[in-house]
Amino acid sequence: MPGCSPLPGVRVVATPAALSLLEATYPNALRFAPDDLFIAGLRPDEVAVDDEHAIIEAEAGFSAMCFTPSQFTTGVAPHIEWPVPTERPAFTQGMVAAVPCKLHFTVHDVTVITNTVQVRDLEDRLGLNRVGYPNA
Amino acid sequence: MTAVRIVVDGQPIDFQNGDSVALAVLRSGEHPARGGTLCLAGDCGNCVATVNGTSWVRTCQSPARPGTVVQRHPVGSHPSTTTQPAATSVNVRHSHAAVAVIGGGASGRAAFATAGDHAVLLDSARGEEVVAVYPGPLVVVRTAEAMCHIHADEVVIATGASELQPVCPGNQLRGIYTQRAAAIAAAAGVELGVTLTVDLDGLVRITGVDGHVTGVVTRGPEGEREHGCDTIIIATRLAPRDLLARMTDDPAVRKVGAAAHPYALPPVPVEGVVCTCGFTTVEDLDGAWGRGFQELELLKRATLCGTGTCQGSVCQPHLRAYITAKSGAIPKPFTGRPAARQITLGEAAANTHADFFRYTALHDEHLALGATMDRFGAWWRPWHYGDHVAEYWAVREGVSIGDVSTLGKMVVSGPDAVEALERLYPTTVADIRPGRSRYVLLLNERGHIFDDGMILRESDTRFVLSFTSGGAANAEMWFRDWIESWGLDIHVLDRTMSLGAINVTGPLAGALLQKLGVDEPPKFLQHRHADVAGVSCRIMRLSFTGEASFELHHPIDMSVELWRALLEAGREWGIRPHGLQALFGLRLEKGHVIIGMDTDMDTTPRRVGMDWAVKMNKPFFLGQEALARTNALPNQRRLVALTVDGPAPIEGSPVWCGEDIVGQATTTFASPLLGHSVMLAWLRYGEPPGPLTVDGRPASIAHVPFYDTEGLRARM
Repeated sequence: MPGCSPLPGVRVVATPAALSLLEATYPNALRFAPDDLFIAGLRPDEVAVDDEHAIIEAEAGFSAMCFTPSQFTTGVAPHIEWPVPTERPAFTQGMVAAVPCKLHFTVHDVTVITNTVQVRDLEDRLGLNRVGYPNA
Repeated sequence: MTAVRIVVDGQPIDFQNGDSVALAVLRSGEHPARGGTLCLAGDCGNCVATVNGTSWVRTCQSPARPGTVVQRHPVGSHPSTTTQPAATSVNVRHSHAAVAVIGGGASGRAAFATAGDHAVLLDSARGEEVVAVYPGPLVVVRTAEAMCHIHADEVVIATGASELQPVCPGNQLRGIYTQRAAAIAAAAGVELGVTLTVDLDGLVRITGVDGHVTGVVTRGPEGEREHGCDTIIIATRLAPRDLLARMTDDPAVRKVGAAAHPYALPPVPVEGVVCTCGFTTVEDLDGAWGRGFQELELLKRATLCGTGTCQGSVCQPHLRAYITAKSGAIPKPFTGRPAARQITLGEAAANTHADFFRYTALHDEHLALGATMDRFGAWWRPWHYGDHVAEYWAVREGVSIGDVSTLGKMVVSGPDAVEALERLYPTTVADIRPGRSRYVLLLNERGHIFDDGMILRESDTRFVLSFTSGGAANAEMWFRDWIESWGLDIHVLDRTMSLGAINVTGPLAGALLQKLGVDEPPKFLQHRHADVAGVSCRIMRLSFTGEASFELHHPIDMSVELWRALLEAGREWGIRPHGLQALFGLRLEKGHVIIGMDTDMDTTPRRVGMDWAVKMNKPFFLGQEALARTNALPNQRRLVALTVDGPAPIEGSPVWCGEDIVGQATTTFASPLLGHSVMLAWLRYGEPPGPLTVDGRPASIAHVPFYDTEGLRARM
């Protein structure tokens, strides 16, 4: 089973219309909410958004772990009480082993994202080995 | 051929392929639970025993396997819980279905046949024991492999009907079977001897010798008559097997088939054991009824009739008949409670997770420094690093750092930002200039304090807000709900878990920042961005400790680097980190309250002497109307400062005035600087009528702050 690793990126809070334009530009963007977008691997100065009041911040608070579909089925799905989407790709959010998570499904894998400050509990509950902590 | 055996009470007995434990025991001439009517259908608790270390197992539903060890429960008491096997990890499988049909009989199969593609059929004959149905609906099933949690859109209960058992003197003897059970036993080769089938209506009492049936007395038109026999078979009368259906009122749960059929109540019990799980007798019912427990649920609770192993499957019809006779009205069946089958604690707790506690990015740094960690406000935090007094002096005399990453942090931006904050906070916001900050309270609609923090203004339309560690999540919901309700144009981003924060505090705090590249640390209540040891920080100048303090908010992935740089640079000044124990004392010397520790759910600013943080002349803020009303009423209590000599009293200690308790201490601290203990305490409003004592020692009302009354040190 994989371990968690940091998932740095940029967080943008802006009008839904502005974020939709941004989302179309970055295929890897994850829409956390209508007014909340996360793009992994980018810095704030690399993002332009059509909203003068947008909040654009470097986001270092997330960690992620990537699973094959079979690993997800055996190792993660038993800890999820809610129906996970069956279409691919898909993005959804909810509790995994009672820890708030975001799940990104592609045809090839499933990425489980959570706040780094919650990683230890998530890993313990999923029975994963802790492989490190940012800067530790 | 080698005989296959199980061990019962230390004695090996043979069993046959397909036997349940109960059948194997019966064939050996014993009773699996030493007495009582047997249904051999899993409905009653009259065959429970300890099987392979797990007690309360229904042996009629437990397959006999070579080597199975059975210990019958002790007579007249319960098995010891201390001898249960250690809990093992039990898996849980979650699945989803349009329809879950419970019961593999004719009605269950018929329901399943018409339930569509996304239906599941749960059949105890296949080892799928449904132990609970919860609203949702959620069906919990025990299988050999795992506890299965089936989230279904609809649940169909097709569990059939169970046979009524007798309530009369002698119903705890060995040799009593329901009609179906007798057929099963006979087919399995159990020696029943001379049998006699009796109907519940004519049954008066069962007689026996040495615990075994020897006869029965029935009543007919010609009067009572005694019959000799070895085995009594109770003629079948059915009651719906609807315990699972009674566990929830969820309209998505319905019964079909015999489980849904009405039934005729049995004869009114007049003597004997009614609840065979808890041995509640008719005499017990009479006693409770006489004390006023004259309703089904009340009588159940008063006598525990229906709360045992079978959850009323056996006794409920008799209990209802009893109440009907007493009251003249037929009571509705009582609520069913999980679990329908005895499950182990491991099975009940399978995949259940307690609340988690977050770890700051500095957690391992704290441990490496010898910290004792504890849980505060949903986070693991250092309580001390081995010497809280030394940590205290580092703050008062030199420089210290503390991990305050747990503080709530939020960015708000938008054309309506000022308007939103003016409505949310009781202080004025519009006059905070960019680069400046202000301490603020958060009030609910009733004017009660539920959090506090800082407002930092970055520009005309952008602010950074901070909250308490435990209040951050609630504050975010509060903000979002009200902003949406008011339809204001403002963006909100919670940064609590994205940013670390380190508090650099002490008279040398400014010098330490200068040493790490901050040429001009911000002045009191100012803030600005700057690199500290190469780490981009928002530096907030404030003071919770009473000394100069700089909160360094920074990306969480740089926390360790910044922490280590601060410790290294401060080495020459004897820097040491401080934990919460020292911090709580430092702030107490300044009289700063901690929301939730020094305040209650109904604390208004007036009661804690913080009217200065409320601007009642503003056009509007949440809680304003309530404060206008309650401020006009007499104050009932107030938060005061007290001092006592000696060690700090336990927090929560009562404050005495003579023989009366007139208040209680909220937080206490033995001040190294002052040489006595200080505390905050709630007192009845007004002058106490006499001297106060706390923990048996004289207590004096004092003024806060206890330390640096002019507030000069925070501005140094």
